Amino acid sequence: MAILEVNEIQYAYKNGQPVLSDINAEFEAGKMYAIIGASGSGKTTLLSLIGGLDIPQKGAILFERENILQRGLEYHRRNHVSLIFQSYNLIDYMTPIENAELTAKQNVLPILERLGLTDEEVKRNVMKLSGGQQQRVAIARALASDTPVILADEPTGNLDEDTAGGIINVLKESAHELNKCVIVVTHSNELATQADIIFQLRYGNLYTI
Amino acid sequence: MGTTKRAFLYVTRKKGKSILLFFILLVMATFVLTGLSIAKSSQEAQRNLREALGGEFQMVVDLSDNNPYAKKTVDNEGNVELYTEYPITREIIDTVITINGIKNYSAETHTFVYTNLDIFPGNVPMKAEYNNLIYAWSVIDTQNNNFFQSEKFNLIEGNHITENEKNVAVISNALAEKNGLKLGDAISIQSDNTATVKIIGIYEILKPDPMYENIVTYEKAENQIFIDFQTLQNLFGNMPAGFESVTFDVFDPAQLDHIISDVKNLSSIDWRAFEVITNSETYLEAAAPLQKVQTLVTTMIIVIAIVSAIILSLVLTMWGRSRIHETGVFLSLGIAKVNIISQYLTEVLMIAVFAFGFSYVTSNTVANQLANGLLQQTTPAREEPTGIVTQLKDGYSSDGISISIKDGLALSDTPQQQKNNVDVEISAVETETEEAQIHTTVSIYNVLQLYIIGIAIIILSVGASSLTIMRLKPREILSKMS
Ligand SMILES: Nc1ncnc2c1ncn2[C@@H]1O[C@H](COP(=O)(O)OP(=O)(O)O)[C@@H](O)[C@H]1O
Ligand SMILES: [Mg+2]
Repeated sequence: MAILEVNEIQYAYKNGQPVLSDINAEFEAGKMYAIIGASGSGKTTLLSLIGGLDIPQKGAILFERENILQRGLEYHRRNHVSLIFQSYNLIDYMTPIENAELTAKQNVLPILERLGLTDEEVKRNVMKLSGGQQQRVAIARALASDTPVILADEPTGNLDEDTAGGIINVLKESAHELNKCVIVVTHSNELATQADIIFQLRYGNLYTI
Repeated sequence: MGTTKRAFLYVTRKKGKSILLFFILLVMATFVLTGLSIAKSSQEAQRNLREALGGEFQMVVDLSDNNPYAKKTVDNEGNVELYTEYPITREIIDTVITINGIKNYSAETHTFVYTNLDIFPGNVPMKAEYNNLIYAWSVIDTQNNNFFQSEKFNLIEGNHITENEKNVAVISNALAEKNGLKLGDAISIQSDNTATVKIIGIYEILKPDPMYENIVTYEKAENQIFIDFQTLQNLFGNMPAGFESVTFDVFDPAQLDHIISDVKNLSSIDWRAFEVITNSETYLEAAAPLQKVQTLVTTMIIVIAIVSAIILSLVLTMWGRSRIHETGVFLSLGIAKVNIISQYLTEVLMIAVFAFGFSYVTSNTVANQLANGLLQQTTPAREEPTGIVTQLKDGYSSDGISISIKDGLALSDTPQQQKNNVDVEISAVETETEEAQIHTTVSIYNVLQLYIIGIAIIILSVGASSLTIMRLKPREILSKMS
């Protein structure tokens, strides 16, 4: 059963071309989805609509069959979805533990450890970690917040190939072992092949591959 | 993670900003607290000064045509005499002092009398019949009399005349010596009737008459005698005896106008017969520098508060720009805007608690120096620093003749001179050195005020600096930062 549904979504930026013309998709828990598409095709736009950062001009996004506008986008962001960005978006004056604790509903240490951060690293200034480690902290924050959906926008964009592979694995495990619904936006076809289901965004429409 | 913990982490990890903010808030708080404490001290100083100065007003018999009880007689030699049939009686005084705020009073009336004494001649030639006339001051008590209050005279032997005393007198030591009199001796005084009074007190003259001035016999300090009110009534025979002027002292000169209006509303007194004379100049002059300080300081506090709010808003807005990213992240995590703003507010408040507390130390140092600096600037330079009114009612009018309210005895010069003499005496409190001074100590009350004002400024500033960020949508913030 789909945990997240995207129904007939249309979106255009103010005084701009329509970016999304008619998007329909369903997402289930325990699966990893990849959305690929050329640069500028609207992947980030779509993800931010699903993530409750903006509202589509037409159509609806349902979480467990309920329109996310029902309880408000803030509620949606806090309780339903976690966002992971290419630039990690960590808080620079907090340690990895504290970053993960920001919205945590559970003990963050085991999560950070399982993601491969050492006891010393979790207490370090978060800006003094490598890119891959920082992205793991962001993922730990998402996992600790207990949201059923994880949305990742180019999570490996700033990382070398090996590190990127590690991150994708962590996301895949989160879907398969922790029963999360993981949606990863990427322009790398290679990484996309790791996903259970791949969508392609083209000309404002979403196609299953 | 809660708001407070996030704020705490920010404040402790961003040490540079925190220290800078601490000093900004410290300077701001020092100014505000200094201003507050000076304002409070100058308020206190004003109150103390008022109490020290006191105030007074005089009730005098109106001898002009306005007074229906005023009578005028001209004898066949052309001597004019003015008197009233409605003088200030004991009953009237008792009515007036029921008004709140009146401390005490001194009543007097002066009458020309003949005595059996050898008196000191003046240096102004007069008709022979006036050469033996002197003033008898009938009072309720001599202690409150202006001669003694102003320390022109000082009792050296015996006692003051007090209320309800009968047939007594206080005379000068010079007069006593000249006539071989001592305490307990009797002298004879004559007006309509003759009265015999016992000397119960002898005074010395601390401020003698100026040598070079022309002084008539009855005005010489040595010749002044004081008698009780009963004696006056005896001298007058059947005429109603009363006082021609009563001076009422009030506790607080700031209340003077209020008290006077209360007095004038007393319906049992026919105010057509009297005039009320007041002089609040002493108080106003002395209080003026303090009042200026107060106004200045109040303005200062307001300006400081506004400037502080502006500076703080600008600094926080500047810093807020570098926190757009952070704000966007918090929003994307579903943290409410209110929650985010309250974190920013808490951060400033955390630092403010210390800065405001420490400003207690700094402003104690600054306040004293500033307060007296301000006072020096607002006090006009002069020999007597606080404006002491020196014109004092000393019982001697330069024109010489006063008006008796009693028929028969009063002898006068020409009508014009009399006119000059009616109701022109203006009295003032004599204050030696009632100096305006501010002793400033910062009180806990001031610190409390500072916290209230300071927190208001901080809330305004944080609110103003957060406006731009908070108007943005999370998506816009996140797209701005990538
Ligand atoms: N804030 C914005 N205002 C106007 N146009 C935008 C904005 N953000 C993105 N776009 C445009 O919308 C289109 C889709 O952008 P985006 O969703 O970022 O693409 P992708 O993530 O697939 O690269 C692009 O043509 C881009 O120029
Ligand atoms: Mg993108």
